[in-house]
Amino acid sequence: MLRQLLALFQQTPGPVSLELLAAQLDVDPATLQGMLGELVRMGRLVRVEDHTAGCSLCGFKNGCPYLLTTGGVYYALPGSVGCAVVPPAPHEAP
Amino acid sequence: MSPDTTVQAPTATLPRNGAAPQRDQPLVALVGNPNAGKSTLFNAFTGARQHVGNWPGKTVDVKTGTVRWDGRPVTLVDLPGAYSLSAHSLEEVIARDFILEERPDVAIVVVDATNLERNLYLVVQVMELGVPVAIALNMMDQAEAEGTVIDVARLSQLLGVPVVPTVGTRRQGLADLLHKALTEARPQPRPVDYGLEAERELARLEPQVAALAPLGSPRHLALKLLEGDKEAMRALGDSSAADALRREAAAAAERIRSVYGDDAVLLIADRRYGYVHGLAHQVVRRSRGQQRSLTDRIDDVVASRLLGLPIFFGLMALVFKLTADASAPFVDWVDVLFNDVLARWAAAGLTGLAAPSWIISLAVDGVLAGVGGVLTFLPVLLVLYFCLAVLEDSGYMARAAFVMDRAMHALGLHGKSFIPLIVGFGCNVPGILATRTLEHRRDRILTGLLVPLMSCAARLPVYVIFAAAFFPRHTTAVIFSLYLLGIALAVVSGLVFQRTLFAHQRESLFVLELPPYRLPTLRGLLTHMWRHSQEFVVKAGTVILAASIIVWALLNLPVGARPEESLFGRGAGAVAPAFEPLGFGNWEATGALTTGLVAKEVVVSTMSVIYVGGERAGEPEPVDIAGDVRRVVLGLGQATLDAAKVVLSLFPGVNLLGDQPVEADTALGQALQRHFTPLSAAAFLVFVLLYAPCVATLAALRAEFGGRWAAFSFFYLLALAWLAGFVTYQVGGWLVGG
Repeated sequence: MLRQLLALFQQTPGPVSLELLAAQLDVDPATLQGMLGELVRMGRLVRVEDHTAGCSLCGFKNGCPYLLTTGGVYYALPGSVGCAVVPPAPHEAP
Repeated sequence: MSPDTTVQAPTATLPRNGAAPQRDQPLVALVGNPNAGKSTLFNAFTGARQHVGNWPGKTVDVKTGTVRWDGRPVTLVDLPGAYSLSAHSLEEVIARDFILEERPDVAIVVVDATNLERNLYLVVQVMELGVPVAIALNMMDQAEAEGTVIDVARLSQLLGVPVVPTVGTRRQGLADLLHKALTEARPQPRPVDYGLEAERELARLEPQVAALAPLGSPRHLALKLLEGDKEAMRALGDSSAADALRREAAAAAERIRSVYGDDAVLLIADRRYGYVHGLAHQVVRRSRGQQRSLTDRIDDVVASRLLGLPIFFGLMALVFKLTADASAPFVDWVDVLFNDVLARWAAAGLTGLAAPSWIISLAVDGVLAGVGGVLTFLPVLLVLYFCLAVLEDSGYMARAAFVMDRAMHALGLHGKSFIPLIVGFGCNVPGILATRTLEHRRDRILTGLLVPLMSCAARLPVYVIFAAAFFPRHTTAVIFSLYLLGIALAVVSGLVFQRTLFAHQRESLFVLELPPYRLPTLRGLLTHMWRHSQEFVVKAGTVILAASIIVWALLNLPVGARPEESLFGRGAGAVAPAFEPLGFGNWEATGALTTGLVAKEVVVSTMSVIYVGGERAGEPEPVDIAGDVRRVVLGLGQATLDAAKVVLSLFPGVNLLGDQPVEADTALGQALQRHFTPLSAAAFLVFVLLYAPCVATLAALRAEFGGRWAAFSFFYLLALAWLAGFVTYQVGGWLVGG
C-alpha cells in the first residue's frame, strides 16, 4: 500500500485532494492520512502547512493578509520516490 | 466491575528498571490513536479515582487509576495517544517503552470504530510487542449511525484477540471488555506475514535476539533491527555478540533492499498496511444508504473537472461585480470627503494661520490629493476583501486553488507553483517568498518570474478609476478581463520559459488536505477584511505620503515653472515619446508609471497630485463647517442606501437601480476623461497590469534568485507590457476605425 502510494507520487503529476486519492486507492481518507503521516515520519514525504514560511522578514508575519488557508500539502522529497515502480498490490487477506 | 473506592494508584512516576516487574495486582494498559476515546474509556473505568503524573524525564502525562474486577483491584494506565509505535514522537516512545518494560498483563487497544482501518495499524504493532491484547471497538454507536457494520466476531477470529464493542461516553461494554481482556487475551505476536524474504531474515534474527534480550518479543526487536531502529540497536548492549547481531541485521536489511528495491522499513510498514487493509475489507460493511458528508457532496460539484473552472470564474466575476458596484457609492463619498471637504478645510485653515502659499499647496495639492486619491479606493478593497473572506472562511478558496492548479498543470505549468501564484494575487512579495516551498531552484525561479503577472491588490485602484471613468457600463468586465489577461500571459510565459530557459522538469504528485466547508462568522469576516485592508492604509500613510510629497516637490521645481517644465515634467517628458504608439505618450502618464515603480498605488496618487491638485490652484473656497458635516453625514447615508440597492439588485428579478450604470464618479476620474481616450485608457490599464514589478517585488526577486534574474524580470515585463499595450492600442484602433 505504501509503495503503491509512493509509486503514485512518482508517476502521477499534479495535485490531488486527499479524498480523491483515498477513493482511488480504495481506502478511507483517515487511513490515507495515516499512511501519508507514516511516510512523512519515514522521511519519504514532507508535509507543508505554512506556505509562507519564507516570510520571516515580513512585518505582517503574524497577521499575514495574503496567507492562503489550505490544509497541509504532502510533497515527495527529492529522490525519495525513485525506487522500484510497484504495480498496484492486490488486497492482502489476513 | 465497579470503580474502587480506595484508590491504590501506583506512583505517578512509573518505574523503568528494565526487569520484568513483580506486581500484586493485574496491570492493564490502555493504548490507542489520539481521539479514539481512550481517555473517555479510562475515565469511565476509574471515575475520579485516578492520578496524573509524568513519565520519568518527560513532560507527557501518564494517568493511572484503579478499577475492581472480580473482587480484585486492577491497575489501569492510560498511555499517550499514538498512531504507531515507530518511535518518531515522544508519545509513541512512551507507549512502546511502557509496554516493553512494564509488560502489562494485557494491553487494551482502544479503536475508533468509525476509522477502523487506520486504527488497526496500531493494533498489529501492539500485538507484535508480544503482550496479550484485547480490542475495545469504541464509538460503535457513531459507526452504526454512519451506516458502518463491523463483523466483530470475524475480526476477533482473524486477529485471535478478544474484540468488545464499547461506547465510552455511555459506559457501554466496559465490564465485558475488562472481563474478556483479563481472561481471554493471549499474546499473538505474529499477526502480519512480511513476505518470503523478510520472514526468512526474521527467522534468522529472532533466535539471536532472544538469546541476547530474553525479555520482550524477539519478533518485535528483530523487526526493529531490520528497520534500522537506533534505539533497538542500542538496546542490544555492548557485547561482541550484540555487535555481531547488529552487523547481521544490517546485512539482512541490505538483502531485503536488494530484492524489493526499497528500504526494509518501508517494506515492513507496507505489509502492515496491506494486512490491515485486507482485514478491514473482510470485516467492515458500509450500507448503501450511508450518508456522504456535506463537504463531499459540495466538492462533487465545485471541485469537479467539468464544473470546477466555470464555477470558479463565475464566482470571481460575481466578486468583481460586487466589488466595483457596491463600493462605487462609498468611493464617491470618500472622494468628496478628501478632495472637496477636507481640501477646502485645510486650505482655509492654513490660510487663516497665514501659512505660506507653498505650504498650503503641499498640504492640499500634494498630501491630500495624493494620499486622499489613493484612500478613495479603500472601500473597493474593503468590499473585495470581504467577498474573498467569505470564500476563504467558507473553505472554498482552498478548492479554488485546487481547481486552478489543475488547469495550470493541464497547460504545462508546474503544479506546485499554485500557492505562490495565488498568494501573488494579494501581494507579489509574499508570493515570491512562498516559492521557497518548491524544492528545485529552476521551479522556484520560473514561478518567481510568473508571480508579478498575477495582478496584485495594489493595481486594483488603477483599474477601478480608469474602468469607471471610461467604461462605466462594463466596469466589472474590464477589471475581470485584466485579471484573466495576467493569468493567460503567465501561462504563455511559463510555457515559453519552460521550453527556452528551463529544461522541463518532470513533476510529481502532491496531496492536498482540503478543509471542510463551514459557515463564516461575521466577526471572522470583518477581522479578515480589516487585516487585509490594514496594509493598504498603512502604505497610504507612509510610502504613498512620501511619494506624494516628492512628486509635488518635483512638480513645483524650479519654483514658478509650469508643471510640464518642472523637474518631474521634463524627466517624464523625456521618456514619453516611447509610449506614443501606445496612446499615452504624455509626461503625466509616463510620470505616474515611473513613480508607480515605488508601489503600484502611487500611479493613482501621482495622477491625483498632477490632475486634481493642479486643478485646484487659486483662492481657497469659503468653508461652511456645519453644512459640510451635514453633507458628509447625509452622503454616507445615501452611499449606504445606494450600496444596499446594488447588492439587492444582484438577485434575479430585482432592479432597484433603473438603467443608470453604477460608477464611481471621482474628481480624478473626471480629470482623466479630459486626458485619455477609451482606447488609450485600455492600453494604459494593460500596461499597468504587466509592467515592471514594484521595488519591493524586485528586491524580493533579487534576494531569492539573484540580481540577474531580478533584472531579467524587470526588462521582460517592461517589454511584455509595452508590446501588449501597443497591440491593445493599435489593434483596438484598427478595429474601432474599421
